[in-house]
Amino acid sequence: MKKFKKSTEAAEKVELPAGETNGQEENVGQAEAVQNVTAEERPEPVAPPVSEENAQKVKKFSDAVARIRSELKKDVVGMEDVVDNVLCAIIAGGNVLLEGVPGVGKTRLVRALGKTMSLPFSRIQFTPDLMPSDVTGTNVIEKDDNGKMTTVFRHGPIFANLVLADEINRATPKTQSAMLEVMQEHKVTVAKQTYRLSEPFFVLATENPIEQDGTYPLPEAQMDRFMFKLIVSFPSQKELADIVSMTQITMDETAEAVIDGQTILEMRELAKGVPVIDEVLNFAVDLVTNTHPELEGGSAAAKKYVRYGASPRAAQALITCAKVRALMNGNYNVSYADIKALAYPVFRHRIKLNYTAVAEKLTVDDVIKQIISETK
Amino acid sequence: MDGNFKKIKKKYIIGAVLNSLLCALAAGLATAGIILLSLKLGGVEAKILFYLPAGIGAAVLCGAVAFFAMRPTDKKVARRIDEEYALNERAQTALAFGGKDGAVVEIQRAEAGEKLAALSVSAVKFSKIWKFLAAFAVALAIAVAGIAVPGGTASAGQGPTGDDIPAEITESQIVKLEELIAEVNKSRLGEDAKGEITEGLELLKRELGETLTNGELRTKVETARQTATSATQKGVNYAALAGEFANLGAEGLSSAIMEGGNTYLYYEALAYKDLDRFYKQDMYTGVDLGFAAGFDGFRETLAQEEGEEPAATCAKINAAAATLFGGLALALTNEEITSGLGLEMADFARGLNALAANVSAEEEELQNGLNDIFGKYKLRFEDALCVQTYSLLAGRYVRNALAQIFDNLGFTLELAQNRPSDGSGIGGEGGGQGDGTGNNEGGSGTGSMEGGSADEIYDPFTGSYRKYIDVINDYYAIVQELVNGGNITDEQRAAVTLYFEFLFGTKQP
Repeated sequence: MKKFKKSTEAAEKVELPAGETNGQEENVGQAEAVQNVTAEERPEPVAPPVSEENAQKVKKFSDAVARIRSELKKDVVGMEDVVDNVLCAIIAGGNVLLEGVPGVGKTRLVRALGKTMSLPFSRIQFTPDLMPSDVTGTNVIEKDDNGKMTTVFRHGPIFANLVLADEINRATPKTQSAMLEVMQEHKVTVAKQTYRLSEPFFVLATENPIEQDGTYPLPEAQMDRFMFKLIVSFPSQKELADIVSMTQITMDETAEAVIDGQTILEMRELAKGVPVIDEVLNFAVDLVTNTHPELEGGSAAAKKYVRYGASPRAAQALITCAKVRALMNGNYNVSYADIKALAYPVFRHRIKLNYTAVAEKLTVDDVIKQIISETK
Repeated sequence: MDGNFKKIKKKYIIGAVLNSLLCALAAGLATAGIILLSLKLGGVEAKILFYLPAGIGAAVLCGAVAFFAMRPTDKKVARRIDEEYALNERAQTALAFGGKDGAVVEIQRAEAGEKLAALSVSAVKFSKIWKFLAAFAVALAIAVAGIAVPGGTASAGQGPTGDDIPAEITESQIVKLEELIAEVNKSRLGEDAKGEITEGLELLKRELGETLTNGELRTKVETARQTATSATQKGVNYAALAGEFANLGAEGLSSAIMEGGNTYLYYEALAYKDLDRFYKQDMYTGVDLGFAAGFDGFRETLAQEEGEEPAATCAKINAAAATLFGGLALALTNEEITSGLGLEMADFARGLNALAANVSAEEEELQNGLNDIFGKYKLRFEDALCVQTYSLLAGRYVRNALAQIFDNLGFTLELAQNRPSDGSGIGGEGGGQGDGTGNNEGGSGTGSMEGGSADEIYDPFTGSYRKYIDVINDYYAIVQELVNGGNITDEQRAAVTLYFEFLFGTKQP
């Protein structure tokens, strides 16, 4: 049975490749901060024994996360928060909407992710003339070997594990709705025939915040299906310098596969077992209800600045992703900090601001911050 | 949860006990202190029974409630540990999922145990104790203030009494005092008495401008009342004179003087509130007829009887002069007696002595002399009786007026005297030393009024013919009883009273 020793300077650490962390440093720091005992004062550890199997599972999880992070760093400069959140969404089984100006690395990130996870990757470039069948696939008539004409279903680009839906807001609503069924149910229905997509299935859509001409804003129903909305900001000067240096050497992605789809599914299953106390769960629920101005318990910020609040999917997303985030950071329970950190990507696309917020030049993140501060 | 958790919980329990104790002490001291302060500032005697049980009760109640609210359950301990040591809900999670299975749950529990084991129990602080210490200090300050505030110690329970409270003198009281002074000045009191009384009232009025307590004010008003007494009782009053004659065996004369002295007292029942109303009535007729009858009767005892030798008559007069008036003259040789009934009686005694010294006088001369003396002094006695009675009543009037103006000081009004139906006199002021504070109850509703004719009329109550005045007096006595004690309205009482005032002539239409 493996016992977890106290985290002191002399404590064992998980062996990691150089320069990489698995989130346990945070644990070490916290442990040091709370301790101020002499050896005589310190009682004997009485932690209950942990089964080897469980310990291995958790270790495998943290190892996988560490490897993915390290591999992605080869191809993606900066964007640590975006990378972590995307990884969190993938493990949690959700879809992500990335918003960023062109050239900040959105597509590269998804490609690199696909490579590290050994997941078939496809990219769909959405244009106004893209048809739903261009996404899902269609039946074609072909002559078989016997010369007989038969109907064959040609799979569309959606049939992959990792799909990059580039500039999804340029597609027509009809095409966008074709994505809805796939994102929600992970299956495609064509000519009354249903085709299941292999798991894990993950859609990472991008939006260009500029060039709104000729675009079709995503409807609320579709927005709600994205677990996160992440803002990919322009890289810093140092990051830009690193990008330029790196791409001078090669433009190709050099990340290698470190896990597979099955591992993702196992990680997902393990994350479901992360415990959440009722107080934290209620806090997440309160956060969601506080985004609704029409509700009696709505926060003052919501009543002032919000037109529409977050859906129940937001509460599900908060808890599911908080569990994953906790494990990714080397913690074994969900805390208030996890919920607060995930509130921004979860609520960003689910809350609609009113004209008061616009007039006061408040962003969604500003309002979310106020709502968090008003939630006890 | 591991042993360290239990140790920390134990420390939190000790902290809760300490905080509850401080809370209890603060509540108890504050409650007792506030009650004590309120009692003292309100001038109420601060008995220990008022504040001590309340303080104890508040302490027990607050302490119990505080401990119940602050008692650390496992959940509260876990939350507190997570907050104070930044464990990110590890302790709470481990506690909540204590009996659950699961890969991550198991590891979480183990890790939480590790973290808890690493905590130093001795470093656990008593939270919020400073707040409770501050509350205790404030409560202690209140309690000390309650003890230290003047008005007596908490144990003596003596606070400011009514006499120590500053007197509240109203404008209305000053106005009424000025009206009383004006009324006395208008009255027919002798100048000496008038001057003495107004001087005392003016002094009181000036003293009202000072800052006085109730006790001091009462003393000053009492001084003014006693001034009214002493000013109006100068000289020998008729009751004292009657008493002397009674001692000397002259009951008839004693009774005559008392009859005369009680005259104005009969009117007091209706008119005692108005000093000047006494003089609306002619003073001469104001004296009871009983005086004249008694005085004449005394004269008859000194008159020569049929067949009596003049010498014997002289001897009889001499004897009366020697015993009655000699003794009285001795009693009335006070140099301060310069006017009033005493002086008249002393002159009367000397006149009789002079008459009796003429032993050789003829019978007719003796009788004429006797008649002259009696005739002369009868009127003078009546005048003196009226003046003196008026003076005594005026003194009572001023005392009652002051009692009514300062009715919050607890003075008692001197009620009106009523003439008893059997004609016995009642000493109006009691030996000349009445201080006016006693409650001289009147008769039992058997008052009567002077006035009316002596004609006989049929009395329906007795079925016989009686003097009109007697019937009216009896009827008035019954009416008085009903008016004073009956369930009648104020308007009815006023109407009946006014009717009899008109009937007896004390009020003119």
